[in-house]
Amino acid sequence: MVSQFNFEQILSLILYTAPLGVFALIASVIATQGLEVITRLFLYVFGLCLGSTIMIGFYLFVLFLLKAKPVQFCQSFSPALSLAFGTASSNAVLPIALKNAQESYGMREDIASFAIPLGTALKRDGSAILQGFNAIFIAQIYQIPLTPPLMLAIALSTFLVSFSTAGVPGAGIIMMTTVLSAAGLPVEGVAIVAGVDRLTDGLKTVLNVVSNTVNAAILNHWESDSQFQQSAEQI
Amino acid sequence: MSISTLILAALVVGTIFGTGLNLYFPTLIEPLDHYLLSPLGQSFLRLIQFVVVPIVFSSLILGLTRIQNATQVGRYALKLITSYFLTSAIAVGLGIALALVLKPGVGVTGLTLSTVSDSVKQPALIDWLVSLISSKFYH
Repeated sequence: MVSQFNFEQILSLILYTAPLGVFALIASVIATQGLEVITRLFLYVFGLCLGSTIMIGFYLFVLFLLKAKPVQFCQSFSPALSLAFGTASSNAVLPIALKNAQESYGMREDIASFAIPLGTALKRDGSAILQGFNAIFIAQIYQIPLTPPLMLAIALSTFLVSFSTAGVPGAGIIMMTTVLSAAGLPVEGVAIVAGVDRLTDGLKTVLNVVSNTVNAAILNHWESDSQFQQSAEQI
Repeated sequence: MSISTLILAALVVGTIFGTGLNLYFPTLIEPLDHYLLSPLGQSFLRLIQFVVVPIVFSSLILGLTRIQNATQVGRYALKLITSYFLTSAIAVGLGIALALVLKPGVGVTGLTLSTVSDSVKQPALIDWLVSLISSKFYH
């Protein structure tokens, strides 16, 4: 199909210019913001990275339990994941993730073209971890007691917000104000973490993409099992 | 060298470059960023985002036409959403639990806290729920 052919060329163009683009993005962020903000908020940054890593590990473990080829998953999606880390934009990664899913991982085309765009719009575990962690952090800084109603408000708003965050860098800050105001926490706290948000956005976006693609892979795995059984029963 | 290794290498080089600029050549940051780094990075992002909408649209349509029967779409969506809900709940719990255990905000000094506005009005939960629904198709 002609349009597919052109898209392939554009995707290849994106992939080949990606190293340069990613270099420029990261160098720009670090040169202008500097890294010392990380030392001041070290435990915050460490906690976020730890949370994302644990969740990614959880997903790989689930793939392993389902015998859905976790190693091949990592290898086939590594272009999408490294791009996610560099651009901090899950929207930008979407076409590459589609390509990786169908060509390298072997996901069925109808599942991939349905599940991966849907997941890019809706599924962001990185955001879920960030918002909950961040809200509690701000409550701790302002010495606001963490009562059960407050925790419930934080949990509920984080859960809902993780389905409606935009897939662009910096969207986390906007959603932070949403979560904080829904829980009744001081919105001024966002100013404290704003400096470090872009630096932690990379790993968080990787988790967003992983959560999206793993769920698609799980669906793919379930569906191919039942199709096999159906065709076996028909024989 | 595979493309993802190249990208990761570019990340490392970019980090080193940015740190070096920030620490040793602070005067160079502004012109270099304004005329070279930012335009390059932003153009790259814009190139991708320009392409994303047509690709997503066409692949959604292609994917939907390939699905054998209409009931399958509903089944896929239901399974996906269930799995999303379960895993998101785990993620939310993990983030909150980590913050409670690590206590990152307790005893933090040296931060200038802006005065908290006295009237922290609790917005009605229902209004906030409605405002979550994004009214724009594409941000």
